[in-house]
Amino acid sequence: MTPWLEPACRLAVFVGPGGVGKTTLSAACGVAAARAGRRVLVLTADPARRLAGALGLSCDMVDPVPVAIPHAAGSLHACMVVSRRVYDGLLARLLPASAAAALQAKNRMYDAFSRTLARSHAYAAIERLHRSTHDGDFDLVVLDTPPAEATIQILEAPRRLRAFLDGALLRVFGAGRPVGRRLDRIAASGAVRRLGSRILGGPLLAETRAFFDVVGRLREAFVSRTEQVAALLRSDAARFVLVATPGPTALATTIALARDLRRQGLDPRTLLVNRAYAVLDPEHPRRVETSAPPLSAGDLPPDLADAAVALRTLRRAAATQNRAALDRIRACVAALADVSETTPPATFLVPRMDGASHDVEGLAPLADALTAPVPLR
Amino acid sequence: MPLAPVLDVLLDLDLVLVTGKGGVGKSLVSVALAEAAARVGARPLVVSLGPTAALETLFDAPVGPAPAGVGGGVEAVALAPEQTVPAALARVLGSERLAQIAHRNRALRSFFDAAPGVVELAAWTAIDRLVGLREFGLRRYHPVIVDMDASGHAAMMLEVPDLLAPFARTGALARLVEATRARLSAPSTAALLVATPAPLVVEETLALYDELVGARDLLVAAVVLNRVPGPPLPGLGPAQLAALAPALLAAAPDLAADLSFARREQARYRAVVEAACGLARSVDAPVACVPEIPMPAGRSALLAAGRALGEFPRLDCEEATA
Repeated sequence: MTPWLEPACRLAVFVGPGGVGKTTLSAACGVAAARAGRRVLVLTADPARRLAGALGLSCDMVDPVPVAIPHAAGSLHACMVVSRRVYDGLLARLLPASAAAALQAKNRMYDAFSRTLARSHAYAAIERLHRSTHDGDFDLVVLDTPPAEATIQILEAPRRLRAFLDGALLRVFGAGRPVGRRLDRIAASGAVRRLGSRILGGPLLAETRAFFDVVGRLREAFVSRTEQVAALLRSDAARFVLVATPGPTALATTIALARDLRRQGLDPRTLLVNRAYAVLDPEHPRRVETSAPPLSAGDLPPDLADAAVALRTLRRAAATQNRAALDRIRACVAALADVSETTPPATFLVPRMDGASHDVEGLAPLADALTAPVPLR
Repeated sequence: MPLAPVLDVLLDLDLVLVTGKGGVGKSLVSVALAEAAARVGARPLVVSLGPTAALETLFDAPVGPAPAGVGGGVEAVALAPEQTVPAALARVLGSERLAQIAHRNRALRSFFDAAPGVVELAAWTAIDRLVGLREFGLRRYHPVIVDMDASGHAAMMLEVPDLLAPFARTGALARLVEATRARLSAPSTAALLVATPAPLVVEETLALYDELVGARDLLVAAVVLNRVPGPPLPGLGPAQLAALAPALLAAAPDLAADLSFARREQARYRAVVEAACGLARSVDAPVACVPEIPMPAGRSALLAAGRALGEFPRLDCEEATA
């Protein structure tokens, strides 16, 4: 069974190289799971605005937006991580209104932090994920991550955030509780503070201290939330789905990504190959044709023979490409089995679709393909 | 905007920032451009900011933390953004020793590691230094070609100096921010957008183009369309095929699947051509086409791709959309 239809799976994380169609497939999985009766949120951490386009939404999706799915037993919402809004929401929930307002109105450090800088974007994705998985509004969250390298940033965000909120650091900027360790005393000494002033300049140092003062007060809440998300990512309720296309570069990047995930203690058990094969016969969309029958063009009148040969040649070239793609996918699966040191991942093939999907209706063929995907044989 | 050769435009630049949607072939285009530049006697340097696997495969040579030759007169370097912080600190503090002390401090290091913007600014500072390197009064590297992240993250990295500018008014950080902004707004710095002629990719490329030109005020020197296919049935257009179809099916009924497949391929090709021409019409920059290169690409294929940047491409919008 595919992870997104398994009742035990509460979080499906789609990871893979750029341009393989992660966002479109996440949206289609959301549609498939909603049809199967689940309450689904598709959450995109990719700063490119593809999800709205795939679902035909024109709004900004800073909060979960309902998406109408015809004849669905469940429901689908879509949401995009917008850093500033996530942090503002966090402050509103955790701080007295006056303290939150002061920081938002005139602290330049908060301003820079809360906008979409790459690092803080990863923290915002974690925070958004925490809200989406703990509010109990959804049975399944499908997380669409940005391309390969940035995915690792999100997975590393909990660890980095803990370092960022490290007691010694907060103390340099005058916040947090005193701890008697020698290192911390050195960190809190005037020399380091003077160095900070030299790097940042006087007024900014003051604002930085004010920022860290607030962050220090939020420390416990921050740390416990990131730890909960880290635990969820490593639990049985989370499934990592590798998304690839059958090109050699995309498959090589996917193997490298699986290795990085493994280093994080994560083992992706599903490989979804998008645009894995061309459907040669629309009557049989699940058939992966790897050869074309011979053509006896000799029987045809000369004016038609050339066209017939051209048509069969085109079909045969596509079949040859299908076969080459299958060979590369099999080699990739073998390499992934080596990476995981256990069994190879469950591998599903999604055919190349005609045309781009710009709304839920356009996603329907993909959602069909993902409801009972073609397994690699 | 007519489709035009872009190599001349690019070779006049000191700093070329290569970006585009994920998976469109940014590394391939960076390498092809460097190969083409080296062939006309320039001294190109390709800078990688992320994983080096793609570049190393293309060059068939390792790419390390110090600039080194990768063959054919091209040099390459992998700047792991995290590793650029100590050098940027030294520039801020005006002292290697102070920078080392600052970077050894556990608290400051975790701040540099985690605070947004610091690592990006340090990477920009390292790039600025590479562009500014001189040897016998000439630029050591020309052009410096940065193989950047995919659109969303590249846009964030390009936004960092502007985000930091309003609050870094004094202090050494301000000087670093100003140096980076000056480099990015210099007429000899420009972005090279890479796209493929697929409708979704074109959509995202146009959004990125608007962001770079509008919000970032960055020059976009050219757009490269990668993997431009040829027509599925050369010499046999959709209209001709439709005219032949009844007779073909009558004579050979087993061609039904072939015909339906060919029709779908022709529709797909038409969408590709329309996307390519739509992109060419919507940007105020020359557009070059690079045909599909079978991977793994050998040196000769890369050189051919580089040459394509200097030639008029074979995609003719007026004919194609007529």
